Amino acid sequence: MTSATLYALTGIIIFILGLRGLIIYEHFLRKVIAINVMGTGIFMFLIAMADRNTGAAPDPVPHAMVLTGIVVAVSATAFILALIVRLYDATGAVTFEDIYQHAKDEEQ
Amino acid sequence: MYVDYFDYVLALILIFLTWQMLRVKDLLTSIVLFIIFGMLIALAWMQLKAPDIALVEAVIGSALTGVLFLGALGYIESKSQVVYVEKKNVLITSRVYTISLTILTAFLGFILFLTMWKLPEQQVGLHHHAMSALPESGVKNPVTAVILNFRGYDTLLEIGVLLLVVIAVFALNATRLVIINTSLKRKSRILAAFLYLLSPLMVLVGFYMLWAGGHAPGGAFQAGAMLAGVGILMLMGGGSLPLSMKFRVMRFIYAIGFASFICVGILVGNETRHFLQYPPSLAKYLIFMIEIFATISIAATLVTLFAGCTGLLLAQEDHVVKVKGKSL
Repeated sequence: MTSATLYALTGIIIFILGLRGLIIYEHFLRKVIAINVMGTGIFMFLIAMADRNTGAAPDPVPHAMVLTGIVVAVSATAFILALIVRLYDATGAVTFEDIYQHAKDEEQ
Repeated sequence: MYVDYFDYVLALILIFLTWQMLRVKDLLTSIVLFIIFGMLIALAWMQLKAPDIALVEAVIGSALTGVLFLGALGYIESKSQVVYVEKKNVLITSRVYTISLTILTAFLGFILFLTMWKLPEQQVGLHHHAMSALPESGVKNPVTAVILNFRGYDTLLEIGVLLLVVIAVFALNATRLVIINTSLKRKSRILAAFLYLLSPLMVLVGFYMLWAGGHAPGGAFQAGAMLAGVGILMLMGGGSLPLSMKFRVMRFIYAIGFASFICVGILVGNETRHFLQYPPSLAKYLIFMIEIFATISIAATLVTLFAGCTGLLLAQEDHVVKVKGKSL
């Protein structure tokens, strides 16, 4: 097993753990952490695949793509967090249950 | 390439950390574990021979994202009147649901693993193409060349995404806000000393990383994030920042990264018949100019995103917002 294969496997496991965490846990902040973890897992897989070159140096194109990916992931996270903060400010909800409860209360 | 024992240990720690960070009941612990996870991922990037990504991950992916999370958590916890109920982070309803979900995701992971296993262990990538075109690109670092020259269009759109997110965050929040003024009731001495001593150094390191991006790991994003760190420390330690679309200067600063990139692309397109195709003699200077403007834009954008995630932009009053007694 080469180091690239090991990190590719690690990337897959991290992605799967993140996916499971995204579905299972209820709190919004935890879901956003899980989304970030999924992204990190995919990036690790991509860079591990880039390290398979014949010769010593890795392929710089996936490096550039992952760099772009990290910045875009941070932007998306910031936007989601701003949405969560705004939602909390307006309704006090931090889970989907809270939102349904709030909608039900508003109806009455 | 043989596998170092370090790689095995690091991989095991990463998997354990991932599992724990999603599982712990306390959100603060979860976020701190996320920051640690990010730093260890930066180590993994170094093991995978990707120092540029290690820099970006350590600065933006781990530290900045962690700070955004902490800001959001702080806002939620400071405003909540109810004691934090533990059931909110426990697994949804039934055991059967969670076990079947775990089995399904594990099965998906197994299929992904099989797909990866079939891929060839060695393959010829684009390294040779990138290195052979490197002298014409104007920089000596292949990753910077790919980002700002060969695949400059992707970076253009990435900076566009940053601008879009800033606009979206402003759209979510109060529009009457003019200046953010955070004043702590009890100013923390450590934070003040930290600010005095470290902000000049951080600015210097930021600009050095911008300059070094041409020949070593570095570049606009790392530099912008470092400068954003100074801005965030200023917001935390007590300071006034005009984070609002009302000022023409701020609108200019937010937009200058994206705008300069497009302008350069169009102007060189006039000469070379292709959008964003730099003439090789001018490439170095064009790249550096784009990077400077992008750094300024990225720094302002990231500080504003921090303010948006921490609830600082949710102002109820007009004009100057004083965030009283709120230790960030």
